[in-house]
Amino acid sequence: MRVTLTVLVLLFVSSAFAADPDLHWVVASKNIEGATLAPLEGDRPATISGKPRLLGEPLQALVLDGKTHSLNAGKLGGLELPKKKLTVEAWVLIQNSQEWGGLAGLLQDNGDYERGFLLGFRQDRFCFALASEKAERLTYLMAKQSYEVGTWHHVAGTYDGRVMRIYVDGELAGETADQRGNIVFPPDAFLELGSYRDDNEFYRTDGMLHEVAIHYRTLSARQLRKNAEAKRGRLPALPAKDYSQALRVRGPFVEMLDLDNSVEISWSSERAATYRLVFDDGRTEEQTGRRASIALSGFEPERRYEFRIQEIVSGDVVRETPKYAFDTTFNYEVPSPPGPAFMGPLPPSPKRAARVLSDTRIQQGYCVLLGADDIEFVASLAGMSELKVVVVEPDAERVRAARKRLDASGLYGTRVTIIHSSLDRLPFGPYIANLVIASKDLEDGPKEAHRILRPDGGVLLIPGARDRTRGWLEQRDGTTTVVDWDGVSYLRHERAPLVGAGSWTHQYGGTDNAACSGDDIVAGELDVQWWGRPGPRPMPDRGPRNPAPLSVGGRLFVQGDRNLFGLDAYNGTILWALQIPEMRRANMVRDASNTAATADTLYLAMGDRCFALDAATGKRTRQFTLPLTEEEKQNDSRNWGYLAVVGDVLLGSVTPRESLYLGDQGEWFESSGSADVGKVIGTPLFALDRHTGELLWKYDGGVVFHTTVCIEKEIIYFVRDPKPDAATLRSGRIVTVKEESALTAIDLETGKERWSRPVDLSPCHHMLYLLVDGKGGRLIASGSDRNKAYHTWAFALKNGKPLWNVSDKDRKGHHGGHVQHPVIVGDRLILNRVVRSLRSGDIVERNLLERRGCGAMAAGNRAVLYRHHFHGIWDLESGGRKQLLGVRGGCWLGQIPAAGLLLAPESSAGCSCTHALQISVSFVPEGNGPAPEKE
Amino acid sequence: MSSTLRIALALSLCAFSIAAVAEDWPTYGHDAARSHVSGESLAGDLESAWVHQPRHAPRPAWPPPAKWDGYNKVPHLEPRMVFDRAFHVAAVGDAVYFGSSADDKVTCLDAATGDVRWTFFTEGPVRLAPTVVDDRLYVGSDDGFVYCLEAADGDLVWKHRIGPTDHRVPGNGRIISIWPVRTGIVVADGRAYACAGVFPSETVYLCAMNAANGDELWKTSMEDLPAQGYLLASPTRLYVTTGRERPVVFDIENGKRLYQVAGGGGGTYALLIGDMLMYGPGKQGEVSVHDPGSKDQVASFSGNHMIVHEGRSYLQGGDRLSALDRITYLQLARERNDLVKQRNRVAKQLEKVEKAGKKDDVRKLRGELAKLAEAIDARHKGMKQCTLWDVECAQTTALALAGERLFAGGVAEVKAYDRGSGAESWSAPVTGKALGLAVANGRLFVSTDDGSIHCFTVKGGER
Repeated sequence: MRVTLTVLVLLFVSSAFAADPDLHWVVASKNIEGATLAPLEGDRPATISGKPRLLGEPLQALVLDGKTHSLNAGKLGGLELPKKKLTVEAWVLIQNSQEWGGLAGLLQDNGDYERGFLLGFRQDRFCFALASEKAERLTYLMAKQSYEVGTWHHVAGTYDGRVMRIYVDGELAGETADQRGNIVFPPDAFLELGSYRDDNEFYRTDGMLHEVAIHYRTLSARQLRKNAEAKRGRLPALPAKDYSQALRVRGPFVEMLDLDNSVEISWSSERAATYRLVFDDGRTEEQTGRRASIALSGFEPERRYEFRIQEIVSGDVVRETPKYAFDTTFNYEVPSPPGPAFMGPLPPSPKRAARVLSDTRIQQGYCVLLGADDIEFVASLAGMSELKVVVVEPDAERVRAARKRLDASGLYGTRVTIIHSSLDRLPFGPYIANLVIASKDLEDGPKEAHRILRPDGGVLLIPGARDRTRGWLEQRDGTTTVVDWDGVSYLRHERAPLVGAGSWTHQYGGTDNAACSGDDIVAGELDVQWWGRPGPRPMPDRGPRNPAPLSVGGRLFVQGDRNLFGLDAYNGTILWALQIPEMRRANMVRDASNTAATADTLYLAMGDRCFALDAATGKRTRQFTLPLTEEEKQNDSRNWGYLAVVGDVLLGSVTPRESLYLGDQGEWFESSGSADVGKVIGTPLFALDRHTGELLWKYDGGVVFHTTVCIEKEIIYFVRDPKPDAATLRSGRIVTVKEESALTAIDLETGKERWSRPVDLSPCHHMLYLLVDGKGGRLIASGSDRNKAYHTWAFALKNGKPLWNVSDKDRKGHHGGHVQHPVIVGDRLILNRVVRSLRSGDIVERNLLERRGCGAMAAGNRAVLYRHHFHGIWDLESGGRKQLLGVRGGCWLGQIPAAGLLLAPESSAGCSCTHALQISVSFVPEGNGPAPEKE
Repeated sequence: MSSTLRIALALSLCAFSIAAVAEDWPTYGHDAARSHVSGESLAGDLESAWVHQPRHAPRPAWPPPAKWDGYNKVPHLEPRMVFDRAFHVAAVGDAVYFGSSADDKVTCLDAATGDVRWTFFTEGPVRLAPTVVDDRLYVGSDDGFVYCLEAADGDLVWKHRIGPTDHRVPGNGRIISIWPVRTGIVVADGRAYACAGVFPSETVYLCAMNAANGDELWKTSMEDLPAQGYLLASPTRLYVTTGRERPVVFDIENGKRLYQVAGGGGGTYALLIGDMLMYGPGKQGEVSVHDPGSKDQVASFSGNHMIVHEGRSYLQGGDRLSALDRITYLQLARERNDLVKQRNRVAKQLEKVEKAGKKDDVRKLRGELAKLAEAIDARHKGMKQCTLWDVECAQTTALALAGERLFAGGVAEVKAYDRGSGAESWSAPVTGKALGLAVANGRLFVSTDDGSIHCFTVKGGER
């Protein structure tokens, strides 16, 4: 009896798919010899591509890395094929969803020619595809529910000549009668396990495979349920990824140095060693030390170059980075001044120009010179800086002469322009000039010169100014002084920031997550302020809910697809541009942004570091390290997650590297599946001194949802899971919010808990947001459930006490209608096309903001910006809504009210729609432009 | 050999090797239809006469398109706004004219030597080629003005601002008008037509001016689309390309907006045959064809450039150059479109009767569907048979027809193909991508993306 039982157990272990499959493979060491998996049934050994890696005991699974691993059991030829009845079943764990995935298939799906069958997955659903003689096309029957990423599933497809069915974990998940009669097969096809493969497509699965069985008959639902039960909970868990063998550098950062496409590639590393830069075109460079900076030249324009960094010991490569790339298309350098041959006709007068440039520290953007008296000075200004100089001259003869001379020097056009115009009405939009220099005191006063001066640092210089001029400027916001240069007295006015201009320093405005900049200026009718690069090429596809642009201190920071830009917010000048191959984050619905800004610094979280970049130049000024445990340091498995800056404090969280969403496959993150809705968490939350890097505190009370961290008046609020399971700690994502979450407040200065209260936010399946209503003393939590219904709660800021909660259906029903981030303006909560009172949660205004597109809203105090067919603006005072036709944003937060402007850097890249313009653009409230012309 | 015989032989050689008819190329694409067809014939070997290398390369307004359409998994998107990537020329008599997006000038060159005759400064980038009519040159600038100059010496005759006011802002990296002129100028029947404006929220204007003095005759506003790319005209209509969007059609007499084309994927490349519009390149490089007066697409071809001449279409796309019997093709395409409409109607009816369980009707409609499918297949087959020749052609950046020769521009080269057979008959190197081709008065002008203008003439030939 004991012997019999042992045999039965062994049989059970080796093969749970009872019912005699015709073809059957079970991953087990004993079944694998070399790279061949021997079948248990059928004469079809499967050749494993890539190095086989088995996990688990006693039940084993083959790790599929999504890149090299698949199993080919030969081709269709010689295989006895099923006629009318078929069952395909598999045990599989999906690590990453993809557009087309296969578990077991024998098919051709090539445009008009569709034959065979496939058990597989598409995006977040399992599918079963089959072509019969009725349709002669494949029907992809999709499972109703999403699969769980990182979880073992039993999945099966059946066909009985009349009905196709798909079962997931033993439960019927879909059926269709679209096919009827015999299955039709192509003349040739691959019998492929663990991948999707036909003649022109080959997509490997990222996950694990344990077993595949193909029956030439239709198994019953009961049998399939039994099969699904047999191994449930007994298959190996996904292992933690081993990062120790790959080289992880801090960076690299690629900067274009000139229009001839010279580049500088720099990085730092954990230890001093010899590092080699290896390009795909064969060139190599080496440097020794912890920090490397290599300047290279001779790259072709508009070409993508790939490279790796290798660590060299005794001449051998011991570790190397993944392949990186940069593209010389992304060269934003200003044309250099022409060489000596072209400068000939103009003896440069550098002294005065050098003085102006050094005193004002303005080297980029636009300089407007009022009067073409001194062409040498004009040429020197252009030649000694990156300024584009525009000279306004009322005298036609002087214009002609100046153009001729500057053209002969090669400066005319791209660097210097002469405009024939009177000085009492300058034909420019407001705020465009970083530097305005008059050639003499202005007869009509400095009003026009001041109008075009950039706020927040623009400088106006007027020689020989009268008291009246000085008096007028002293009444404006800014600093007015007199400077004396080489015997000439200049009135110097440096313009202050615009009164009422807001800033957008974090993903949702400020650290309160209110998605409101507090800008008092942007509203009403708008004029174009500037447009230009960056265009769509350096941007990520518009779909994957990308990080928002930021603006503070008169600058605009734009994150592209591994490109980072610093722009002048008022005139669109690209101040700096970096290509950073490791910088990418997506799915802002479930994660925090990787950037935060102050007036002087842009902070960038990347890998296990946070980099401080000088806001004006993009130069790295400091690196901050994660406070890791020794074990975490050893296996190099952690990233910097959440990022915020408040006063002198830099806040961060530690998150597993696996938690990162990249969005590189054009994902929309729109579905309800676990591949999309996994909410990124971090632990611990920590604070550093942003000036010294000193660790101030760590908070380790479970895991913190990144999208819930918000800060108001020295207190940090968040939702946490106090008791995360091992899978959460490994993946860094939570799909299902537990009923036992905690709403917690801690002190910004000490990290000590102020209060914590259990909350049940479990309906928040798609996302979980937390915002602060600082004025009203409330916290607002919001999310939507599996049926896309919104649930919103208000809690008291001082103790977390529940105040009200409301639930309502998604009022849009498509294009991200169910994942909207709320907006708080004044005492109003704007979400899901209604306005609610923050006090009561009651609806006070309905049917707002018809939004055709998939973007998120952003507000100032007077207007809400949104994406409809085009950029949209809802004026909160008049209630009027307007679209800025021709341009549109992407699928998340792409237009912000800051600096007194509507800033909309290009974010629609890849959009299939034919909106006429695809470019970065900014708008300013009308009425600030040039005065009407005199008749 | 007698002198008479020598003269006779020389004349006969000339007849084979040089232009039979001298013709100007007075605007981009030769004419207001942007046909890129010259009646002039440039046969035999051509040789380089001169190369004009301006100090600055073109500074195109618009950066390249996105890397891909990630959501729809479409790679290699075509740039749709391609009007200013080279200094396209107008060539009239012994002069060549072009504008510069880098130094804001209009330049006149001596066509025989390439020497600069005169220059004229505007106050913004000049992105599109001038138009020369009756010894006057018409050109638009990003400064918002249309300029009329004396073709002989570049003296200003008149200038006219189309936008409502002089309001300049940073645009595409320069300080330019909010209403830049980016459509080129069409001059016909004493009128000059141009558009100004990029952002519909600022209003975009289409304007007719008296060509003699610049007086405004009428002005039409557009508040939904920009105007970018060469304006086209037939005797009765104006066609405005709208950047990445689809063209809009106006009544040339009064500026009344008639319709916007409904099919195709947007773009600034366009040409007319009468009032039949062909435009592209859409998202992935296609030429969309629209019957006169019709919004709807009749047919579309995968490719970037098309020449239509004497019942044939010549299409340059991918790495192929082909000739098509366009009359038959379009007839079959129209029939196919009608049949497809019928099939869709019948399919809907079938769905209804299937639901109602009317078996006889189901059988009848299925029969009809099968017949329609057969008829559609037959049209498809017929359309495929309309290809007259199809040859490999690596030159994919420009196409023009002069006499019996198709000139194709490519990367660092320009080639000629026989229009009857597709056989290659001449090639020459150029610097950069050959984006603009013009044939005039015995010369071929090639404009490239590095700003060069190459002039080729018939080897040993004289005019």
